[in-house]
Order: sequence, then structure tokens, then C-alpha cells
Amino acid sequence: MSGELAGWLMLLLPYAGAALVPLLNFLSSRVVPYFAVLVGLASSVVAFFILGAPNTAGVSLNWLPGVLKTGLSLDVLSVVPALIATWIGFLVLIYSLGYMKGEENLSRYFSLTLLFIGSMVGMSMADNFLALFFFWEVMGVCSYALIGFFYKDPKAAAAGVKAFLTTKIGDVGLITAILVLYANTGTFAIGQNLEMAASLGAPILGIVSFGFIMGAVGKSAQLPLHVWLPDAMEAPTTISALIHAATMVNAGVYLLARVYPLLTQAPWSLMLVQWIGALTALLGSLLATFNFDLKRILAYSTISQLGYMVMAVGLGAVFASQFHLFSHAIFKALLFLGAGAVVHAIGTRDIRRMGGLKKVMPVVGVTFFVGALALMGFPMLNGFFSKDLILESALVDAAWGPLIVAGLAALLTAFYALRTTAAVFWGKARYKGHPHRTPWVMSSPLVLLALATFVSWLLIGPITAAWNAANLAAPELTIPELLLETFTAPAFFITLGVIFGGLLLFVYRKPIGKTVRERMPRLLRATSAGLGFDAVYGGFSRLVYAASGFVLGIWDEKVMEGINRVTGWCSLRLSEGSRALQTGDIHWNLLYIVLTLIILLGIVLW
Amino acid sequence: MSENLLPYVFVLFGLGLFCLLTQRNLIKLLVGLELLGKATTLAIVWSGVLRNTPDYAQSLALMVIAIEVMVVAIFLALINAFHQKSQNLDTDDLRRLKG
Repeated sequence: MSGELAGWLMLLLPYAGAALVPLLNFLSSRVVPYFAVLVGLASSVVAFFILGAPNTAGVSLNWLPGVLKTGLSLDVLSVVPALIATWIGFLVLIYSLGYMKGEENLSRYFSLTLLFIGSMVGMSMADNFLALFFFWEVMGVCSYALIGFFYKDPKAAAAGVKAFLTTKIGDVGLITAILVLYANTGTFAIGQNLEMAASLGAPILGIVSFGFIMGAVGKSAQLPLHVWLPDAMEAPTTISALIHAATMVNAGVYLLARVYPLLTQAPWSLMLVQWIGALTALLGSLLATFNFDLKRILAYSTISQLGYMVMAVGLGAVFASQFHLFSHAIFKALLFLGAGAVVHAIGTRDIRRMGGLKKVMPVVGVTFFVGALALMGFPMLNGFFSKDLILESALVDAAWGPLIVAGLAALLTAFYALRTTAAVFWGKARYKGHPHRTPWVMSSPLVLLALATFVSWLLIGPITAAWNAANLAAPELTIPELLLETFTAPAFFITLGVIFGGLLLFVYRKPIGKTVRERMPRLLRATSAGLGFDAVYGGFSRLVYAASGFVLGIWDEKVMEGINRVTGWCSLRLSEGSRALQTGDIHWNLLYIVLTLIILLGIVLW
Repeated sequence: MSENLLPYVFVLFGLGLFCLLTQRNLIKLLVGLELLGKATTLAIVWSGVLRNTPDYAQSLALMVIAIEVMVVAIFLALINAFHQKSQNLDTDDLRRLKG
């Protein structure tokens, strides 16, 4: 199978599956989950064919001759997110067999999940901004519907709406950027647009790059539009894993990496991206440290890790960002699926009511710990290498501000990863009742992902080679070179120090916690309220509502009501005036008829 | 057409008017009204002849006839209802139409 065909199949198989699932549901609702898993399996097998040729040129079809020509562009930058979406998506589908067992409306769940995966594949492979935007929006719709999947729970429904609306703010920027580009270059094709970027004027470049950053900030839950991601935890945990690891949030980072050549033309925008990323990394890890909801901790950690990727793009280390995206997808899917198994087993998300679970679910405990180590950046796990590359690029660029912020974030990351694992799996049991056993459909994806956490960085050689073959700037690294470079570079010592610091924090967590509780109660309250972003946005939208309500009230009561009164008064006067004509005597009525006929006669015979 | 139809129009119109002014029976009033209507229709047709636009005038006349049919139907229905209610057809009893 050629790479092109594999690309089309990877896009079309999930879409066809999404369309067939509801039809199949009419025949038998029992086969639907297995059918969805089969579709996932088929596209993951197909995905292996693309792996052999990651730099196929791609193919463009004329959809509307002269107007829209679009197709697939298959280079390593676009193929990697698509592979992640397909493979992690497949594991999530298997896991869903166990996790969603016995829920209602499973055909809706599986259909939307397949659509979600397919859209991510389409988004990353699109060679045209219009197609990219289309898939981007389909993903937005899927995220809305899946986050609010348990729509009878008002919190879930509200979270779905919030995710949809918050990302829409970014999407306005994205479509503006795309249309401004089109107005200036006359084409939607991504490649041509990036080539022509240098010839655009500074103001236009400013608008365009700001628009792209806005889109990425919304989709990848960066400061200040990160508020939707923690709330999205109301979704089924499988969907959280999908959103965090495979589909939704990777889209923003991918978009930034894709338009990086354009961003370089406006250096301030790279500065902006760096700082957004670094601050988001710090904010995410800070909020994760002070949270007690297992899934929210993971959500904030995703925000923080995405911050690293965005920062890397801003530093010009596009390869490092995509490599971290790859690592993060694996260990975050692992963490989420592990958290899902825990939540499924004991029915609560509060880590204060967990503990000691490693005896009950040893597989989940061990794999979750592996995931947490990878999140910390523990040496020889995939998160270590990619995070190290990012810190190193900050060091090389001498971007001290972002480096310090990101280092602080890494310190907190090491701490909360350990703390969460300890609170959930170690120590004394604080849960009530008997936890369910983890079915094998749920534990086998965990084991697979944990293994991948150990070995995925070994792919660095072929990946960098493919990057260089595609003329994307990347350091050409083989495994020995990577090892040599990471362990001798100064960034390694930062990483080590950060992990050591996190360990120290963890060991002295009780005295530190006591001090924080006693000396800084305000910090605790602020962080548990998410540093007030929600309150500010809520207040702002209430203000807009109140203001528009006020204006609407004036319009309604004064203007429209006034028109009503005038017309009402006129018709009242007219009818009172004509009332005298109604005598009640039929002869008068006949007289009117006769008069009318005479007038008619007069007109006719004139 | 060499004849002049205008006198007939006036004769019909006069008959109808006379009928309306002298009669008190509702049915007879309707007949008088119809005579007036027919006078008008005839006038329309004759005006077509005078102005040399016969097809236009005749289509107009057809329209008037069709509308008159409806008027008659409604009028008869009202008369029928009135008759069922008061067992007579005298217009003097019909003085409560005032709105």
C-alpha cells in the first residue's frame, strides 16, 4: 500500500465508521462497540504503511476547479499527530469496551469518538487552510458533544458548552488569520502561503500570526483560554484521555508548528508564544499542586505540559515541541486511563478518599507510577528526553525568563506527580467499599502504553532523519548521540535538580503543607478557585449580558413599544371615526353597495 | 355591433334600484342587488366594445360574475340563518347589526 492510499484510508475509515455506527445500531446495539474497535484496528494497521514513507509528497484534488484544491500533505510533521490520534484512539476504543459497559446511547458515543479521531487525522494532514479549519471545527463539535455526553448531569452539559464557546474565541482568530492570508495571497494552500509569508507587510503578518496564536491558545488550552480544560473532566474518562492525549489539545500545538515559518517573520509573535507557553506551564503545575480532584490534577498537568510544547515552538525548537507532544500523548493517555480505572473502581475522584490502591489494582498502580515518572521527566523515560530537549533549547537561546519559569514549573510537576501517585496508590486505604476489579480490556492498554513510555524515545533516529528529509529544521540525532547530548548538556543538570527538588518537596510535604496552610491561606483559596479566571470570565460575561439587556430593554420599551402605541392609537381613532357608518340598518348597507356600483359604472363608462 | 346597449344598462340599473328602495323582503332585496350587479357587468362588456378592448372587458366581466356568485352564496347563507332564527324575512326585524 502506498503512503498516499494509507493517508486517505486513515482519514476515511474513521469517518465511514462514524457514519455506519448509527445504522448498525438499528440492527443490533450489542455489536456497535466491537464494530468501532474494529474500525480503530483497521486504521491503526493502515497507519503502519504510512510509517514506512513518512514524507510522501501527498496529493491534491480539485474540489472546485479554480477555487478550492485540497488534499493530503504527508510530511513527518503532519503524519506524527495523525499516527498518535489513530493509535491512542484505538487503545481508547478498546478501553471503552470495559469503561463504558452498560451505559446508554453507546452508538452516539462510539460514532462521535470515531469522528473525533478522524477529524484529528484530517486536521493534521490537510494541505489547505480551509480544510484544516473544517476538521478543526468538527473536532470542536465532537468535543462539545462528548464532554457533555452525560447530558443529564447539568455540570457535564455546562462543561460541554463552556469548552465549545471558549475554543470558539480562539477560532475567530484562526478564521480571521486564514481569510486575511487568502485576501493577500489568493490561495488557501498551506505550503504556498508559508512560502509567500516573507512578502507580506508587517501589519498583515501581525494580524495573521496573532490570529494563529489565538486559535492555538484556544484549542490547546493555553493562558488565558485554559479554563475549559479542567471543566471538561466531566466527560467520560476515556474522552478525557482522547482529548488530552490524542486529539483536541494537540491540534493547537500542531498548528503553531505548522505555521512556524510564518511566525518567524514576526519575531514579536515568537516572543509572545514563548511567554504564553512558559506562564501556562507554571500556572498549570501550580494549580495541579493544589488540587484534590484526580482528573483535574491531570487536566492541569496537561495544560502545563502543553505550555512546554508551545514554549518550545516560541523558542524555535519545533522539533522538540513535536517530540514532547509525541511523548506526552503516550504518558498522558496512560495516566488518564489509569485514573479512569481508579475512578471506575471506587466511584470518586477525590484523592483524599483514595490511598493504598496498589494492593487492589497492582497493574494500574505500577503503570500509573511509570506514567507519573515520565511526566516528571525521570531519566530514561520518554518524557525525560523530550522535556530535556525543550529546556536545552531555552538554555541555548539564552531565554532566561522562560527558562526560569519553566524550571519552576518542572519542579512543581515533579512534586505533584509524586504526591498524586502517593495519595492514590500508596499509604493507608481511605476509600469505602470494595473496589471493582479492573477488566483486562482496561488493563491491557495500560500495559501497552507503559511499555511505550519506556521505548518511544528510541524512535528519535528515524524521526529526526525524516524531519531533515522533509526540510524541516531538526537536529539529526541517533540514539547514542541523543544519550551523549542529553547526559552531558547543562540542561540535564537542570532536569536532575528539578526532580531532586520535587523529591525534597515530596519528602517534606507535611511541614511545607502546614506552613502553607497557616501562613498563606489566601494562596490556598486562590488556587482552589483556579486563580479566579473563571470568576473574571463569568463576571465579564454577566457584565456583557447586563449591558446588552439594558440596551435591549431601552430598545424594546421605548422604541418598539412607542411604535406599537402610535399605530394602536391611529387604528383606534380610525375605527371610532368609522363607527358612525355602522347604523345597523340593512338599507344603509345596501345604499353603500349601490353607491359603490354607481362609482364603478361611472369609471367604466367614462 | 350597431346597437347601443347603454339604455338597457340604465333600465336594468333603474329596476334594481327600484327593487332595493321599495322592497322589505330580504330575498327580493337580493334580487334587486343582483339586477344592479348585472347592469354593471353589462356596462363593463359594453365599455369593451366602445373602447375596442373586448377581450380585456370580457375577462373583467367574468371576474365580476365569479365574485358575484360568492356574494350571492354568502348573502343566501346569511338570509337562511336569519330565517331559521326569527322565522321571517322582514328587514324591519333586522335592526341589531349595529357594532
